[in-house]
Amino acid sequence: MQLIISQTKLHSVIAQVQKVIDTFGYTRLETQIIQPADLFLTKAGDHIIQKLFTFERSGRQMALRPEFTASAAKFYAEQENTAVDIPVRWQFAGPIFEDTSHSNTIYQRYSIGAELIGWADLRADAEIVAIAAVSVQKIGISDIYINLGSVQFMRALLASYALDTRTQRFVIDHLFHLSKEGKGYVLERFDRLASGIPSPSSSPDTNASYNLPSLLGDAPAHALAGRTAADILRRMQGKSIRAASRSVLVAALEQLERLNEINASPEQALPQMRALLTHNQTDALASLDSLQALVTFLNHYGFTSDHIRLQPTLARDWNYYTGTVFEIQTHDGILVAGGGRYDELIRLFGTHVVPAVGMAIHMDGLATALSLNKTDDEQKIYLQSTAQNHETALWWATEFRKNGVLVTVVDATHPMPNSSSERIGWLQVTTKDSVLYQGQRFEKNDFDTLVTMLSRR
Amino acid sequence: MNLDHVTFALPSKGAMADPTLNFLSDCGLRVEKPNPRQYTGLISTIPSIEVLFQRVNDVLYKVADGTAQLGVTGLDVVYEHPHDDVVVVHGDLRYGHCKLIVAVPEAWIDVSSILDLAEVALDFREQQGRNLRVATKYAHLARKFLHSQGIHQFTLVNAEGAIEAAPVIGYADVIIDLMQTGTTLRENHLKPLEDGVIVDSQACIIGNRPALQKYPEVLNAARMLLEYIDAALQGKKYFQLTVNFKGNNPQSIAEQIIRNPATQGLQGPTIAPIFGGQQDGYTVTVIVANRDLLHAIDYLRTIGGTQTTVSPVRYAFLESSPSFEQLLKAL
Repeated sequence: MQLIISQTKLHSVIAQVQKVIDTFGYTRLETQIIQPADLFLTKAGDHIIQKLFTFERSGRQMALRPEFTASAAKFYAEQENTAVDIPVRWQFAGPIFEDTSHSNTIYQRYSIGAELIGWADLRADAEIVAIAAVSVQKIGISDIYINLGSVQFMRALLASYALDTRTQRFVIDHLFHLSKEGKGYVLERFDRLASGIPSPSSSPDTNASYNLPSLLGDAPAHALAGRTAADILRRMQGKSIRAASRSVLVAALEQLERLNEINASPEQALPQMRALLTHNQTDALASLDSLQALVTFLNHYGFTSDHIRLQPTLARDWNYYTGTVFEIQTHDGILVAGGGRYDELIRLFGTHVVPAVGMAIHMDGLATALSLNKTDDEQKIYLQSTAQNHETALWWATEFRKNGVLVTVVDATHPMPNSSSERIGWLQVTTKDSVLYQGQRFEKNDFDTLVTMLSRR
Repeated sequence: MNLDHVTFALPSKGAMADPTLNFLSDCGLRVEKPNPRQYTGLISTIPSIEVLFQRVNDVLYKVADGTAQLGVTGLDVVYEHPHDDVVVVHGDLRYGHCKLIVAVPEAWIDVSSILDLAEVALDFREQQGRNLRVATKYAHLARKFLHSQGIHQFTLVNAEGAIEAAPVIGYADVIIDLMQTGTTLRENHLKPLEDGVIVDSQACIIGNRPALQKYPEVLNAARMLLEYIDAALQGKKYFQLTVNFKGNNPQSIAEQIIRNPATQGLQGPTIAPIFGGQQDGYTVTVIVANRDLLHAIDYLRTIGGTQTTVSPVRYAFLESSPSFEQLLKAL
């Protein structure tokens, strides 16, 4: 989005989107722009955190909000003990921020978000995807793709390799790198993480055992600084298991690379995905059924398969997603919305797991898609004034404004903007009894006719 | 508009204070302190400069706000407090070396790299429900580095002095601090992470950018400082050799000396006849790099050198001061 954008147009689009979300029963809420940075650091991906706008106040690190979801999750957790109707539906709108000073681009963007908290069913996922898609279509972008992926599918796939949860998370966090830099880069990072383990006293397999007191050099407890010998032992065993699972990881990454190539309609993609899975990957196969069910629900909302593409390894910048993830793009490839299911986020701020799904509409993407950045086609009526006739010019301007005509007073010597535009009109003052409009004289008793003419523009 | 004098801020105490005075003195810029109780001094080599003694962090603040136009501090201080009005005038004074590093308890035998530490930070969050606690005086650099390495679950514990003791006392898990030799770390049962060097620091000269741009006196003082410092640092790289040769063919001696890269000097040898001896002879003066000294002497012997005297080179002035040329570009 440009630094300067027509507020009238922006707010008109925002109002339209909010009305669409209203019709689904979402309450409008505000969150604070300045929040404790921890709120976003906990579950944001590296990509987001590098661009988090942070500063310190009274020894506490604060951030300009980069999104609404974490705030919504925290707000929900804080309400947990009071009576909250389940599920809740909230919507947010306002500026979000990212520190892009290194690339010298724009710090502030506008976003509209919706969160559906407390409903674990796929119908909730479908509702959120549909709200985003309907909103985008309602404001005039009908030609869209809904790209669907599933973190649940990815997790099931990795679990089928019996990879430990840390390695699974490592792979999911590196999906972006897998598609950009390939398997070699991911393995190199993995090797660095798995290296540096002292040799266990038995074989380096999952039963590795360590003589911990000798390795720790009889270190006193205070020398462990917040960790226990058991913590260290657990992690060393974890590293040992991980190092032993390298060949399994390679096989998993190879399967992911093949899945990564799929980007097609559900009819084409689902059989391709099934063909790449083996019989023992039952959970992954089951999550494909969920993906199929989600597609069917979206069909019920009127989104045919022409508008839906499955991308099994679709990765988003936030690490809190646990199930469905989606992005909405125009046919030109402009990203206008995205979101997904984040069932584990609220537990971080509260006491228990609460299912939740949400989306955000990116106004900068919409502005580009709708060409809102052009400000030159705004309706303008200019009234020329000179130092000598300024009093008369102001008198005319006031009369027009009283009758609801928007008039801008300009100096008569200023060059006229392109007057061929039908949305630009020119008034020249002669006396209080008459005025020239586009060169044609109008007497005072023609005033009502002129007002009607200008108002109709 | 003119300045009465140019204020040059130097460290008043701490690890950099004496080495700075010694360094300047070695460069021919001896600082005179008429009254040991006062915080001012003079450098007679450059009369326009008045020296102001400040703590090493305050040197940066004084230069940033323009109270001092030039100053000596550490690169770690400059990077920790980035300021638009501060420009590094000379960043390689070759003393005051230290590293800003991440150190963890030695007993953490499972942690040797930053990737390990990132995982331990996750463990703290998931198993103890709290952030990794990092004791440091370098909040800005620490935060920037940890985030750049994918460590986001941490809390900075601000601490002044004896940071190495923080993990043992129990108010931090790891530290980010300066390390010179590593002895203090070892004494406190800490170890640096192999890929945890945040800044490789040394002493540097900084300047107030607007003052350097606006006042010719400040730019000129910077030029004089840099001329002496560059020439002295350059001089430290070389020895001057005076070698006697027998014989009557200076052309042949010159050719043989130039043929060897170790003895060809900055621009070739100077050769002059020796008078009053019993036989013909020449004396050759040549500049040799420190590392080539013995190799050069061996070679000079093989081509007929008889006696060689070696003197240190106090200054080696090049066509212009390379650091000053760089400063002009940076402004």
